[in-house]
Amino acid sequence: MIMTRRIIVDIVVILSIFCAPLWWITVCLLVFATFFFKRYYEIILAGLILDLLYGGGAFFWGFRFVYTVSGMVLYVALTTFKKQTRFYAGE
Amino acid sequence: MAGDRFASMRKQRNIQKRTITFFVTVGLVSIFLFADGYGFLSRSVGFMAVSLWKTQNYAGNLWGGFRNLVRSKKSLVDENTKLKEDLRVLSMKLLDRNLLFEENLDLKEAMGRSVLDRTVLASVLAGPGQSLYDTLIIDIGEDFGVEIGDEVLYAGNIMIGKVTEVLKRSSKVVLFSSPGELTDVLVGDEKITTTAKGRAGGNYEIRLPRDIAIAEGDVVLLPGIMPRIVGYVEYIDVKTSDPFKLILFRDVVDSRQVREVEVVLRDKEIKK
Repeated sequence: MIMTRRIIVDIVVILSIFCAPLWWITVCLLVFATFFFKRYYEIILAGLILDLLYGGGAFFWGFRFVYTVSGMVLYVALTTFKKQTRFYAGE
Repeated sequence: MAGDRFASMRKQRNIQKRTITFFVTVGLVSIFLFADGYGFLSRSVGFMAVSLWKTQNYAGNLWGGFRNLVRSKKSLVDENTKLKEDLRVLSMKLLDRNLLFEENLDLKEAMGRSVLDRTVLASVLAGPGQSLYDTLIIDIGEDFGVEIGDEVLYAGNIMIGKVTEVLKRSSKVVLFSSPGELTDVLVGDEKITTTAKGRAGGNYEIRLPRDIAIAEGDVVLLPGIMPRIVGYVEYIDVKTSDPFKLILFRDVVDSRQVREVEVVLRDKEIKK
């Protein structure tokens, strides 16, 4: 059941990466999913896909993995934060 | 005893898992750094993305058509009349501009400079709002002879960016207003040469000495035999403690609403 929900959320996130008109919609979905699911490594993969699709230019001094690194940082931060709260979704 | 054995086996398995993870990570990073893994992945993801974006555009057009079907006839007639009037007014305003433009071209040609660019129309598949990078993805690539460095125009005369990545059927355009992007520009009536820095969202900043005369509303152009408009000065910030002033301007067009652009093919045949 939880695996089915996770797959559905993954599909929604992928569609959001390609189709959402604003980038922060995808980010909010990813934050929500990281909070809701255990070990949501897909946040890092989503960051990599965003960098591969849209990355370029002089943004962040030409560093092309802004979303990937942000995904890693968010994953660690949210996982740590989750453990400090009463609510802790398990699988 | 059995418990000790199990604990030791579990510990060995953990060590094996960590070792495998370490070598896989090192392998992936090496591929990225030394074997153009980034380029390969970028091309693969881009290839899949183009089909999805084109499907999205098609679905959007179908939905738009369906909405028009169910709208009241009166609202459609009213909108049609208003649009026709707007078009008529704009056409009048453009008459003068077209006459001057043609005269400008004739003069340049008389002096031995041909300035007509070969351009190809492209649809925007993904706009700048979809990422922090402020890039556009357009639906033409190697198949239409697009190359890295090709300029991208909106409405024929407003340069908005350059092509930075070319795939088989799509290209990535970095807008001049992308954060950190530096562009040489000409500002004001005296066409002062300076560098504009992108601030995202169609915004730019320029820093010039305080005593240089620049006013709000001054035009900002890209240098060249055919100067192209980038924007108009919107705000000037002068501080008594700073020998420089901060000039802010923005694109004349909202890049989030751009649906079609033209790619200037430099001295090349258009392949298709």
